[in-house]
Amino acid sequence: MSKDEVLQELANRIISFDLEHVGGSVQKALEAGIAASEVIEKGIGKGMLEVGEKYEQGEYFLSELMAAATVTKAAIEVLEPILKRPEEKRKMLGTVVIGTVKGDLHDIGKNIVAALLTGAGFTVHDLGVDVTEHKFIDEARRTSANIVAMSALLTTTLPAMEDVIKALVNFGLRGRVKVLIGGTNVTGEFSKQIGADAYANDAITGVRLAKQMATSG
Amino acid sequence: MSKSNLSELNSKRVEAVQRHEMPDQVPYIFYEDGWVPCQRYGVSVEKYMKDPKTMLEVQVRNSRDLGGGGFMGGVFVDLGITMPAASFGAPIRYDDKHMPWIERPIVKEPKDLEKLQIPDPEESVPMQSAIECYHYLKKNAPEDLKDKVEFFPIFGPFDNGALLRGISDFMSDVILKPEFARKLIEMTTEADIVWLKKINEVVGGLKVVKLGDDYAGYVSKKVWDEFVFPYEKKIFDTIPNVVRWFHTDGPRIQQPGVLESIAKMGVDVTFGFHPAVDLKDAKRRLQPLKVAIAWGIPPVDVLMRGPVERIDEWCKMCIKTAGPGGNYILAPSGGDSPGTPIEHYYAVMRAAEKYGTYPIQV
Repeated sequence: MSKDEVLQELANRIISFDLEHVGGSVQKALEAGIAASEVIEKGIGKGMLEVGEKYEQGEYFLSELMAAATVTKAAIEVLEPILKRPEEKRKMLGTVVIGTVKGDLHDIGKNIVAALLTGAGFTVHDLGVDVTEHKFIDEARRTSANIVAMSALLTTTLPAMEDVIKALVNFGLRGRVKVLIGGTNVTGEFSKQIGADAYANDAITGVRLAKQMATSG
Repeated sequence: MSKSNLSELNSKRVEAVQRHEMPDQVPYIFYEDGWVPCQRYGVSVEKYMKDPKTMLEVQVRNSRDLGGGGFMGGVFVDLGITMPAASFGAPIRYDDKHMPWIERPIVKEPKDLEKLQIPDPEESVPMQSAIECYHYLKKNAPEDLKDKVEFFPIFGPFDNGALLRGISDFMSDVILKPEFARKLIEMTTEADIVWLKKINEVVGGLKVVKLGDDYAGYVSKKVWDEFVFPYEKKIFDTIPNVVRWFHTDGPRIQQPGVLESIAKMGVDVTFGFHPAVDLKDAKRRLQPLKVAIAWGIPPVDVLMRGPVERIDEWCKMCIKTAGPGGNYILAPSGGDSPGTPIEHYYAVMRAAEKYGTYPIQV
């Protein structure tokens, strides 16, 4: 198989939710001499991108999106030891710290974004749900993150996003960390009010914005 | 008109709609989880959930303030969306401001299903608490609300499976591990049936069964047909010859064939559907099937944010679209949001009166 065929096979594993064989396809790509960053971008990322497109077109639904995210996670796990090497880190688009804010336990939107960001070539540190501003700050510092991405479903937990942004300012991190927020009830007006850099109402837009943030520096 | 008279009149109109009769005016309801009025009145959500006296005070006040539309016009045993999962043994996290939620999923892998037992209403602490709460509400509710004391809608098997397993994992399972998902949903369905039978016994014969399955409205028709429809129908069929209400949160409920299948469940009223579900399209498809609509007002963008002029315009549009021919209750799409000013509810009530008199002449 050519390199392109190996990468396409990997993408197809994601698109067809082939959890059983995705790890083998990642191994095959590595054995073919393809760099881990290329495996992510042209194999896993390509697959997740197509899954995202199918979702937007109404061909795939939330369960298919989550299934693809699970397969992606399994593929990334195979790559993780390699991605920790400094030469591979440099090739990634950037580092994102992501979580659902304090008081909010909804994770589905955040999980989809995390999977898509990983597929797009970001190093993603997922803090889970009910994340305090201190956890966001500590992880952003520890990982030298470029982007902090926050999710909230509840209208009552939206103010917690502002607390994180204030903490980023107070700890002197705001200059180098972009802030991306998302959730059903997040609006452009709210995003401006709290000083976020961008907001997204869906996962695909969130990834597009993160890419813009990464390339604009 | 006094608040209790208004409440009574609105209730009669809602009853007419659920029987598919034409009321004199479009009624209204507000679908609220208890934590929303708790925030409005500054009451601890945990206290509300655990103390029937507090629950009754909040609900009666809310019912009066919202002209009989609050809590869909009744008084409810409201132990939150997590109650069925708690009956399976899932730990619940309470706090003062938010709805209770599952602390952590308890089904991590297929073998965990073997440890799950269908909750027995005679032994389950959450179910026994709910039954005791019902008796308290029934005994202590004001006279005009005594016959409107109900249990909160049954939480559907898809939601309960998602809470026990974790929402993201359960959504993924229906594609990647369908047998695992199916076994779990069979258990949650059985638990719902056992609970529904018990409720029926406690109240001395249900007249209305309300079932809500929030996450079910996000799936494809294939998944719906396999993991949602047969189980919802089985639960509804447990108690024959009652009025059936159905709620889901997801916008995908509008898919061809899915919306229509609600009629095959024997549903009389759909409530709290997602704001993205097109009201005109739903009316066109559901009216011939004699399925009523109780939604239409975006709960955040319109009802919460207002202003009242916008709410009035939106309600007018809803009534114009879905009011003709009956089978319509003016209501928010999805649950009301905390922080919604009380004046905004009044705007809905006024709009129902202003534009909703039959025959509709908007």
